[in-house]
Amino acid sequence: MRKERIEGIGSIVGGEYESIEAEGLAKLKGDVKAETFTIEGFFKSKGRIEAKTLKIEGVHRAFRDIKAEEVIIDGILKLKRASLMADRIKCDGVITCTEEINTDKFDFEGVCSIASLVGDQIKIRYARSSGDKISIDGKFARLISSYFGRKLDAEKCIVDSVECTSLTASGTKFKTVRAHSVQLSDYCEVDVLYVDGEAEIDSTCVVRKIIKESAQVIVKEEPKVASPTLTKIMDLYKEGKINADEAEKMIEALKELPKGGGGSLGRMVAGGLPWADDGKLRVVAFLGHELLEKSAPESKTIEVTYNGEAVDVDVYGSLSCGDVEGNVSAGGSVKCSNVGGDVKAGGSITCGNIDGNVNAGGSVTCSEVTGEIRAGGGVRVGK
Amino acid sequence: MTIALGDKYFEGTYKRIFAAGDIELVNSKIGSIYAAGDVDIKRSEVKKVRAAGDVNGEEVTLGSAKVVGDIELKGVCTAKDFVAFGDVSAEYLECKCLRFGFPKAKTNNAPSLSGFYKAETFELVMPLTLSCEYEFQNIIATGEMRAKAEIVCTNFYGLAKIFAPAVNAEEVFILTSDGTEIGEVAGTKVTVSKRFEPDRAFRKLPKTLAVRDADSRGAIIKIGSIEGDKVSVENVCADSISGIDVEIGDLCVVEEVAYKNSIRISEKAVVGRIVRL
Repeated sequence: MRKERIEGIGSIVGGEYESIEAEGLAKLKGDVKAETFTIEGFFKSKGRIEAKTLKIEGVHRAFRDIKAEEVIIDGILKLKRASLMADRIKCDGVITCTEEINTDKFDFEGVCSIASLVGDQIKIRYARSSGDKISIDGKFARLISSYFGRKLDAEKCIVDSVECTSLTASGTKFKTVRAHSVQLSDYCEVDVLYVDGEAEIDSTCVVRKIIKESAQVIVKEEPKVASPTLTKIMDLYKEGKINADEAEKMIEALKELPKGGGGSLGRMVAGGLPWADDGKLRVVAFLGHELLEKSAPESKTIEVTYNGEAVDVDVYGSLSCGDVEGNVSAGGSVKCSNVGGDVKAGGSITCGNIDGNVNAGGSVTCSEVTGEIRAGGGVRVGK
Repeated sequence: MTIALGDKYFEGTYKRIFAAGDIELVNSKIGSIYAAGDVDIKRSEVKKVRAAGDVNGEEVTLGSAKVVGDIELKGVCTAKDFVAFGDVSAEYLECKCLRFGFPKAKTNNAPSLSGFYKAETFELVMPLTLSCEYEFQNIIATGEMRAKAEIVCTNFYGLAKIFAPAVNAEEVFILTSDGTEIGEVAGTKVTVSKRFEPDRAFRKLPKTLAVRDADSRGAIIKIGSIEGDKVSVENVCADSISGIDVEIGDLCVVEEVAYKNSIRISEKAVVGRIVRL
């Protein structure tokens, strides 16, 4: 077995090693396996790392997954689009992870920002001194967040989701916590806490929602886990063939598969409506589960009555309306008060003053028109 | 060259008309029209139309037409290339290339196509619900396409979000765009990929827009069932896939795969049952 030692600037292509020591500026270009892996200085990994012991005493930027029995961090570990799987993790420094950290024992003291943390025994203690090391206060905060791929807080550790047997945390902000026993202190914040055992929360902490999980809930979840497809996806993930992001996408895609033979209202809405979320008022009609469109013959027979002022109105059928600030377009007839713009209708038009052109398939009756009038039927203008 | 300001009426032969205002053309033969305003054309032949405003046509023969505004065509109308941006209604429109929308142009309303259309290539650039009657040989959708009924053509290229009960074509290419949901896909050659690189066959298709390489950022799309002679898929979640030669690529989740000659399954795919036909 080879031993690799980089002092100064160098790179490792990949392969199997007994030990790797990187001091200075080093880069990993391919997948690597090593008994011991020590990083002192700046290290960037573009390949997967498998090691018995991984020691980071500098800055390690990882873009591929790391698998290790023991990880000791006394510096900065940045995992971008990569996960960390280890039996034990001991950290006195900074960890940022955009994916998942999976470990049996997580003993952390410093500043962290982690998307997902899964484990058995998790201890997180916020240490202000680590935050000072990377100057996350002030105008560079955004730059720092962009560099790490996640927001870093100078006052608190951030962990989006935690799933573990026992959690002890201080000075940490959580979105979701699922644990058997929980001990929170020193201004911890939790949005939703699922706990089925003991929970010890001191008065400085804020927990917005506590859900006591009963045994029944756990039984309910079991069949989901037992689904053979889901199990296979989890196996691929455990074997390291797919990463956490890919596994999540595959599970998400499983939820509802489309069937042939026509779209349902549910799928029509789920797939997004055929217009932008622009804040405009829309009155829509459905024929069965189908959204009626402008070209549908049934649309022409619908009459819309709107009480109040409007900006622009576009109606597939007939319209009854008050004052309109802008233009009016209708497939059928139009009955409204004053209109600030043009009026175009497939049928007759009965309005007050019209500050624009009029184009009607039928007759036109209105008080005053400033533009030109085109009508298929009779025209009567005046009070 | 004729310049028309205000409302004008034309009849006869003209080489070029520039119009600002509404114009009406009857029994005319015109080289080109550049109009800002409504255009009414009846029983006329126009080689080139560029119009910003509503266009109403009746039994017209057009060369290249680009219209921003609502279009209403009555009787049998033909065109070489027809590009529309707005509601289009046609009793019968036959053209070589029919394009709906302009690249990068946006609209708050959802324009529609209604009536009957026959085209060698239909290019969709902006979101559309396909509910009209049509006979398209090739469909190239670079804008979101929704259909209430089965999409039928010879070559189908879905390069944006597709939402349809079924797609049936000789050659089907679907880019794994986020949100795509299709009930059934049937074809001789079916390819579902997260990357599109125009091949020779695609480059040869008549079209008005150049389509370059496209990448879907690795989304996983949902398709109920896929059936074809040669099937190659990746990033797909499906109930069943069957074919003569089947290739299941990365990040596929398939309940059942049936094949006749050959099968290849990626180690990053999950397949429930494999059946040899």
